[in-house]
Amino acid sequence: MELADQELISRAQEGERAAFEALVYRYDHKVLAIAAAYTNDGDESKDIYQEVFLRVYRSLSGFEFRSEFSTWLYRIVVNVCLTHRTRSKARSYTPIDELENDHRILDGPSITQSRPISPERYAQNAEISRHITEAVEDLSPQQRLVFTLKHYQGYKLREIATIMDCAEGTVKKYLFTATERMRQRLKKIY
Amino acid sequence: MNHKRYKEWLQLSVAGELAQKDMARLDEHLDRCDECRKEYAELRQLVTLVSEGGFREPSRHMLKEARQALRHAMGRESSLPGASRLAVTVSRVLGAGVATGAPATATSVWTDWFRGWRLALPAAAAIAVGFFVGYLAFARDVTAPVVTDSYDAGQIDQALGGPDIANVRFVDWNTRDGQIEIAYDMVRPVRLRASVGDSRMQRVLAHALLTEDNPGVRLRAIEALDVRTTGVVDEEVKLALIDALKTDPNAGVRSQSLRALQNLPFDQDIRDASLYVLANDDNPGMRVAAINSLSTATLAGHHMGKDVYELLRATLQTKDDPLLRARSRAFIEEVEE
Repeated sequence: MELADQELISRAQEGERAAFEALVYRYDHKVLAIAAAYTNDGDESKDIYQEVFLRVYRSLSGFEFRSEFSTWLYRIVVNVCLTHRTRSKARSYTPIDELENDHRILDGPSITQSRPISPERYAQNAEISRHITEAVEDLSPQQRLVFTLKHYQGYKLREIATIMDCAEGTVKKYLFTATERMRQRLKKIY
Repeated sequence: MNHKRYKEWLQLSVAGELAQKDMARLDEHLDRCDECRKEYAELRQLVTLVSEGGFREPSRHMLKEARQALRHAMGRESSLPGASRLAVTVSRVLGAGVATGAPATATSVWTDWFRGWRLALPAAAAIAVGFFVGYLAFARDVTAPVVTDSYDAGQIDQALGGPDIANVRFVDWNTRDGQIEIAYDMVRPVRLRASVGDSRMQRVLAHALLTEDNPGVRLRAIEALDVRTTGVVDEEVKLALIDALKTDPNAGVRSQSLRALQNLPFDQDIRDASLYVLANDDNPGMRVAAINSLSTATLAGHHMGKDVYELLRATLQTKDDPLLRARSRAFIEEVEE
């Protein structure tokens, strides 16, 4: 029977490494997805993933169950995303799409089922993705985070406000500004 | 109602966040306003574009790589308990609690005293750290390591004036909540000469196996830890080899770890580690080596358990490497004879 978060956390606080790992594995795909949505870069998102869980590892002893573990965890994710500095602007980044292509044989079907598409359509999609990626990168960190949490991860605005520990009005403001900038930027490809 | 409110409603509507009653009023407005109707169409196109072309979920492989790297990093964290506890103590004294991102509580006397100075305190702490690091860097000569036949932590500390702090990094310098977070390395230069079977030597080598960046160093550590070299069976060394087998990013290191484990008395931990490799390693050669390890143990009279055979049968059904499938089939046939 699966243990509740509280039980896993208590055991992890007593030093049980297996409990900590089980806790990580319960949430880490979501953490990696948020990081990937925020950065659209495989290596950067893995950096964020690692930093998040190392912070959890270091500070779990101080977790006092005043909030849900998931809320506490996602606040750390937000904090790490907003303060994350890219390794190097000069380094060529590896978009998640390219990483997916390299590992398709090992993974089999990806989570988002892919149908065979024509080379022309593939090139068109890649071009659109590039425009979207550039537009998202031009947003401020807070705007980018709200936009990706809303439109890539499907969180509700009040959930984003809880995660970011700010008012829902503030989240709306970030979203409106981000969406308007994206709309203006991507008009040419509509 | 002013136009700006309708424009906000447009955005909330495409985000699926507009209340039903407001949706009706927005529809009425859209019937009359060309500008808003056009903007609404563009927003819907944007959301469609973004959902189709903007993002793909990370793959299982990427998640596995991330987990592997985390285990490796946690291994390094575990080897510095003093540094972690010190970091915790420092952050508690600053009165903001340990949990990053959690609401700060103001219950301690320190916190009361410094309530009004919270924003200045982290900056002052950063300056103090800078002075401290500078003092350590320039106060004495640390170029010559201490050569010793025995590892006595007290003697070393005395000789060198304590551990060096190096590589101070600001992890989180957002002072909005009154907290900052730094990371640093504690480095103590030591040269140790002892027999390969010496327990202190084995601890250091096991640590190197799990934390050193250079795969050549990790390979040498395995060679030195191998029971055929040391003549000593050590539980912690076995666990370090198992950890390396499961998480080392270098296939050569994983392969040597498995060979070193095969020289130890076969037990449940080694069986489980071989099973883990068979189920999870990306390298088909490693998975064949894991089958060979289990096969050798079976021929020596050890019982494998149902899960091993289930995994081997599952391997036969996949489109895995043909040599791997052939080896799985051969092992199953060996056992059934």
